[in-house]
Amino acid sequence: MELHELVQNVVNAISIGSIYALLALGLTLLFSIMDILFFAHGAMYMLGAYATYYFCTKFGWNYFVAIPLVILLIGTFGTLIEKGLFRPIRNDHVAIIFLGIALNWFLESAGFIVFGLRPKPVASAFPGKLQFLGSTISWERAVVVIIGMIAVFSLYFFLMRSRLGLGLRAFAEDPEAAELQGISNDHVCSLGFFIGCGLAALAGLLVAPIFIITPAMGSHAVLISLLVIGLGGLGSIPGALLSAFIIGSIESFGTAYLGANITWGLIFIFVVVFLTIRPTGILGVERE
Amino acid sequence: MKMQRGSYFRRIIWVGIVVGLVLISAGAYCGDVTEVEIGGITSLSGVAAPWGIGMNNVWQLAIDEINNGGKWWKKKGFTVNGKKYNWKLKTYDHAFDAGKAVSAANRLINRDRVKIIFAFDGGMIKAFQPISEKAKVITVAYASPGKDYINPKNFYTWMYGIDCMAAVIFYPWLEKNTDIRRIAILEPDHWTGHTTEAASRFGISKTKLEIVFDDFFPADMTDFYPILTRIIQKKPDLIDIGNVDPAARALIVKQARELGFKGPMYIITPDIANLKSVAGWENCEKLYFAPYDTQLTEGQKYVKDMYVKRFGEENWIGAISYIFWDYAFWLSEAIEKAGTFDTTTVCNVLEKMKLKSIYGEPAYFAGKGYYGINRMPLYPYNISQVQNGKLVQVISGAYATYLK
Repeated sequence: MELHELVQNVVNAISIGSIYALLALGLTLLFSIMDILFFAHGAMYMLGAYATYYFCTKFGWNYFVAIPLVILLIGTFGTLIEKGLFRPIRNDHVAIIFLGIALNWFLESAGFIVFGLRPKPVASAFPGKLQFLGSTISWERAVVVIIGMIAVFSLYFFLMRSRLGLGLRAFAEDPEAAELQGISNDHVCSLGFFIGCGLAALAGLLVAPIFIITPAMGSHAVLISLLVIGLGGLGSIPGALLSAFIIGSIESFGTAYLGANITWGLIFIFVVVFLTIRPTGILGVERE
Repeated sequence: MKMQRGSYFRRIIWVGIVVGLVLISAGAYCGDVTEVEIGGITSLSGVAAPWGIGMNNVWQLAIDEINNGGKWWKKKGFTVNGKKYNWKLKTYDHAFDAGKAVSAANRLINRDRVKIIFAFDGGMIKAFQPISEKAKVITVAYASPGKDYINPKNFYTWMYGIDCMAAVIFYPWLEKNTDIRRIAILEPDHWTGHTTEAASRFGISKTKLEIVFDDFFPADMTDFYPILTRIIQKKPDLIDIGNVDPAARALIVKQARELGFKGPMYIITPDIANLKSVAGWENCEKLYFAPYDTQLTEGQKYVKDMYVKRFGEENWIGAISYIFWDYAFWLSEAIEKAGTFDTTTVCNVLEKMKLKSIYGEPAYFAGKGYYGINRMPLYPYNISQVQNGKLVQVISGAYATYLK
């Protein structure tokens, strides 16, 4: 293997890992706080990408102006979903899973009617490419890596160092005790959904210029996210980050040297074997 | 008073007679045209929904053209032994799930009693083919043509167009007219991808070109950097991404250019607008498109205008749309000529018919040389290349002679 090939595969692994980490971040946050697997996460990601398309391509707005607007829009939509659909069944975890799957399908099907069949592109806000030791990466991917890392660490510090984050963690630990301390469960859940869906929207927003926008893009994304957070340890943000880069590396090197299909087979086998040996995932903890 | 009452009754009788006549004539009119259901099984949801919904739209346009008459089908409905018939399209979603495709076929055949099914994807068709063949239901398959389901044993299964077999035209031409020698083939890992790859291999086997890479990728893949890295290391002169779905192929073109691949690629049924907006037209330089007519035929213009007017530009899925137009007309004509809905007779008539195709003429059924049975329509086939930003037709009116 020549050096530039090795470097290119490492660059690919980092790029893929960052995208997967971004995808999984909102999902793992919702699981860590509310103990739910929010299957409509993929639809939020898809809506974030479409919102970017409408703001940037249709209305011609600046990409940087679109960033806070898209997060705010989809985050608010997530809050409304929490209030209208999830709050009444908050304690029924099975019903929540089915509701999430149904919502994902509904939004995906509605997407074909509302947005049309043709895939939508978003022009790159960061054109050009970066050459590094004989490898190539487009600037838009480099930006995903940078913003993805910033998002992961910001979320981590928000949860660990801010009062709101403390409230969220207290709720995650013991909702009843948290309520007795004056932390409103309803507010915590709304905030959790706002941040979770906002992060899904951020992922959609960042990958919109790299990939292609279709109403079905969320289903694949939510599957990858589940794989990432399952391997990383449900609810663990550092675990999700680590897991995303492990899966990204296997995908990059495996595809380059073994083939794309066998690689995905290997990834699934790896995750299954790992979870059989360590059911809590890489950095997950045993939950009651 | 008596006169008034008589006049009143006479009026009632006259009104009664007029209403009766209107009802009788309306009844006679309604009874004159019988509606026959025609089935559709495609992907109306999931990853392949853009194709599935798009092809269903074209089936509907063709059926409406037959029922209402128009520029292409100049009469209303079709006639069998003096009786007039209209089609009614009934489509079920298989969401790319073979189990659902089988359920849909069972419903169409056993409950809706259809005699013809339009269907999408070889994997789905393979799943329900034992049922449709046993019931002698004509299945028109949009799928890459595998010999294991297009063969003399499957008498009632027909293929849409030769797109997937265009490799038999393209590669011999490529060898003769260019310096391209090293070919990389990349297809999605589903039935259509596998059979298209087989068709490419078959086309290349007729030449001295060398295959330097040949692999499949998961159909829902969106990041092609790793696999393209591997392809580029093999130093191909051309990358064949024949039957990759429109969204993924635009991404492949974009990402291949980002990674530094400057050579040509080969694409079947391109969605040019999509390629332009996603990959950028400058990145499409040297790409080969099969088929792509720089000059659309009158039929193609007619269908595109109708489609865009009815379903909107946003829902136009590109050159692939045209392929779904012809069969409804060919089958209606074959049924008229056969004078029966008996599918065995209809198949025998259809096989020998001279066809009027949206792609031009002469058009006829062939394929015996490859499949052992004539089940694939041949028509003049064109291939274009992007040269200096312009589409140039490099192959015009060719026929897939290897299939004859």
